[in-house]
Amino acid sequence: MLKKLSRKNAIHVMLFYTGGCNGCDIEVANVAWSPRYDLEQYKVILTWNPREADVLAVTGPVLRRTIEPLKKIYEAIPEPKIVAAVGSCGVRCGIFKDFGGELGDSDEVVCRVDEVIPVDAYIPGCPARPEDIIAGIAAGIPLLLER
Amino acid sequence: MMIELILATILIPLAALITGFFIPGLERKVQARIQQRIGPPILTPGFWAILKFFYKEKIKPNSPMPRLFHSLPIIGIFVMFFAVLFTTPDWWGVNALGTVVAVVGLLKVIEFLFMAIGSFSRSILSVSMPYADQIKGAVMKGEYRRFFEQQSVIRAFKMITVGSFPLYLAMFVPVVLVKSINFSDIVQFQGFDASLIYPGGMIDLMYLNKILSLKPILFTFPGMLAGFVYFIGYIMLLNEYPFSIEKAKSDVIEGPSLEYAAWARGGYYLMRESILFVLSSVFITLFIGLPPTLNLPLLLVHCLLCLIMPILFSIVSAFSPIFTFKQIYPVSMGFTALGFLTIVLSLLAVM
Amino acid sequence: MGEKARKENAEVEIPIGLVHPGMLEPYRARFFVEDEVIVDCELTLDPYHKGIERIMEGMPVHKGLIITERICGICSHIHLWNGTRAVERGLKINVPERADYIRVIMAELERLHSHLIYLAHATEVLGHETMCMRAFTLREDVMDLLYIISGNRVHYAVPIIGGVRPRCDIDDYRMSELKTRLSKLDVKIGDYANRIINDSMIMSRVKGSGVLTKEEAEKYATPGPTGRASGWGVDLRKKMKEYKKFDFNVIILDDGDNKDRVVARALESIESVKIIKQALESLPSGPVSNRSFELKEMKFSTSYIEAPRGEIYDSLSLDETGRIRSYQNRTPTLTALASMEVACIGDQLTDGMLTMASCDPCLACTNRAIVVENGKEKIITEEEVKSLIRGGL
Repeated sequence: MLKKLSRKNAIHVMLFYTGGCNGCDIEVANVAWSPRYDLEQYKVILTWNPREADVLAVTGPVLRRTIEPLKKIYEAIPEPKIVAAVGSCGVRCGIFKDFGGELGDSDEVVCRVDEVIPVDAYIPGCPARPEDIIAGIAAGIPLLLER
Repeated sequence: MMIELILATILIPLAALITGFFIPGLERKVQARIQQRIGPPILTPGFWAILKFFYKEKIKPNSPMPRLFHSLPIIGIFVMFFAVLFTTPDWWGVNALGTVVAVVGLLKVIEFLFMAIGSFSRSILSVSMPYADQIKGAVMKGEYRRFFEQQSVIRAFKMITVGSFPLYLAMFVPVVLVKSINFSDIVQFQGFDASLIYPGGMIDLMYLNKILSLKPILFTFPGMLAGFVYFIGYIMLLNEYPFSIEKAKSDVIEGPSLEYAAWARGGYYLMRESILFVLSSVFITLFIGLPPTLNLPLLLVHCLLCLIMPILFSIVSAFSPIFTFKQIYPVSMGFTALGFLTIVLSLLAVM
Repeated sequence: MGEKARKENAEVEIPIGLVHPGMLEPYRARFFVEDEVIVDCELTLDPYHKGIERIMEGMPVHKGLIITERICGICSHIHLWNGTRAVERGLKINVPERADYIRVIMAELERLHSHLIYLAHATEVLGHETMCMRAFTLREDVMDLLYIISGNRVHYAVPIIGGVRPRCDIDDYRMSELKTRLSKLDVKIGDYANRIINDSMIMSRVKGSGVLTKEEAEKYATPGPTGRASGWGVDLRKKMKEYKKFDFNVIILDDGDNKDRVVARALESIESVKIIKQALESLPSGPVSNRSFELKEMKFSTSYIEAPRGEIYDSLSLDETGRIRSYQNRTPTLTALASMEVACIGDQLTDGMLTMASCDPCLACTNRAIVVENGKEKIITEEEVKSLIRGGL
């Protein structure tokens, strides 16, 4: 019981950007550092160290150079952990893949986030709104309590 | 005698631990209100975070000596408990270590511990990030590649050589005014009579009289200056803004403790909280004359007074950027000079 | 200190990795350090390459221009405007005046929000969280205005070929909102900048560090407010036909250190509010879009514009059915970062990170400009870039 109470009352989020347009990263920075949205009042703290994190928020489509770092950082986070894919680039590579051009897709955009690591919460939007980001992280917390 | 000794050894570190749970939350709350936002609940950064870390998976850190690396925070917590116990009246009869010099020695051990922690840590976030750096066409100038934690260790070394003077000079001002290094003489000079603790047992309702009859050193002129210099030295030893170059978020992310995870990280947070408590508690003992005792109302007043310095320093931290060594050297030299002036003034006051 | 302090051998290399709070984007910086003083540095930006120019080949031009907006998440409107401007100049499409005014208003609002992100980011890298949060609070008003006019906080999709989307027309409600929210904003930004200048702790870090001299700025072609803070450069808005009716100052400063870069952008924000107020007062009536054109084959057509970070160059060519044959885009952060690689030499490591952040880098936009001529590749040389910027559009 103490385990569930402590996991609910202190949550650390780490942000990893695999190469989107940076709009969703600025919205996540808005959620953490803007007094209007203020993530800390919901007992969620932003950190930059994978050893301290519970939640990994990934934005952007996975590019060729960022596949290996994504896997290594995911492995460096201790259990229990959840992953939230933020923005429509995180969910389905957004506009950079399967856009229907004559020449097909680019080789640099390799795959979606959930083909590399298992994803628990999907937050759509281009960019994802700050209220949706908070709601999405909050929706993943019951999964954290069960693991 | 024996029973009180055992009770003191268990109860007073417990009080230190419990007070320490509130301190990081108070810091964040005060800073949040200055920044015009609501901020976290008071127990979250100090208590629930530590408990959550204890329930995480145990991992093997990237370190050349993992078991030593994990045991260093525990050594730090025990060192700090001994520092509190040396200022307790029950321990003054047991050994001759109830002196200011012993506490200074223990604080030096803590300063060195940060360097030791950093030397054993090799995080993935800098050199071992899987990225092709040394390829044809790249600049190849450095003789070796350094991790973030090792750079932090060098900065910590510089901070020890330059930044520890203000704190220790201020700690010796009561020694000069009282002409003795024993804690028992210093608190007696300020009106606290250790033999009068227990006429009513552990719960003595005459505590208010005892507190009002104190004559603290803090309210004399050399004492006020020394208190101010102690406050600045306190911020330097804790590596908080503006002297937080060892843990600067803009280049070394977190400093020496990057590889701590799970229960070791909980231990690191506990070590930091006990350092915060001990530095305030030693200040209250030296400058106000109220040591932590077994008398429960007096112990409560002591713990509440210990919460004032963290609140003050978090107000100062909210309004300052990070200083580089270009600014730390002159600022530290200035406060060292102020500390010397205070010692000279107190020598003149005593003659 | 610049190039004179660069040394041949260094003791230590400190690599700063893909994930780092210094810049909110993936980059890899290697600093070569001797006892905390930087003697050389190297920045690589290739984690970010997505191949946008190649994705756009073969798309119908209306659809393809949507991708140009998502090149960057901060300066999104200016990329789309530049792309449509290139098409309109090539096909000789006439844009109504009211549409031009609305495009200018959106561009200046975007410049405001971009400079406020820069102020917040620079103070966060300095370590001053309080000023960072104050800047984000100021920015929320501007984001609300962008949301009211276009329906989204980022990626507004306001220009279309031939004008502006009819749903983004400025009616009475939007006009009153703009006027009330912008009435106090320039005073607040001025107070914020004054607060930074009068704080001696921040000034001791910022003044005299990261100096970029005028000769170095000219050699590396530093764009935008970064170059103008060193005394070099032009403001392309003075040469564009859409800005001819507005009266504003160009901010050129002398010292070229970090403080001047911060002050230049704060002063430019105040000028932006001035332009928006003038545009709202003299907004002409009329249609907002002109859809009576035909897409046909268009040879190589170029367009230059002044983004919040400097000059952007776009060029497009279409084939007979109106599909994009080729697209090039060259953004200012490429040369801005090259100049910052030189400017941070000789300072301490923490000041070096501050210098990198002080040129307002937007790594998402940065690409290299390659011109394909008759099937052969040709890289644009630095002389050609300089003559194109100085000579005109």
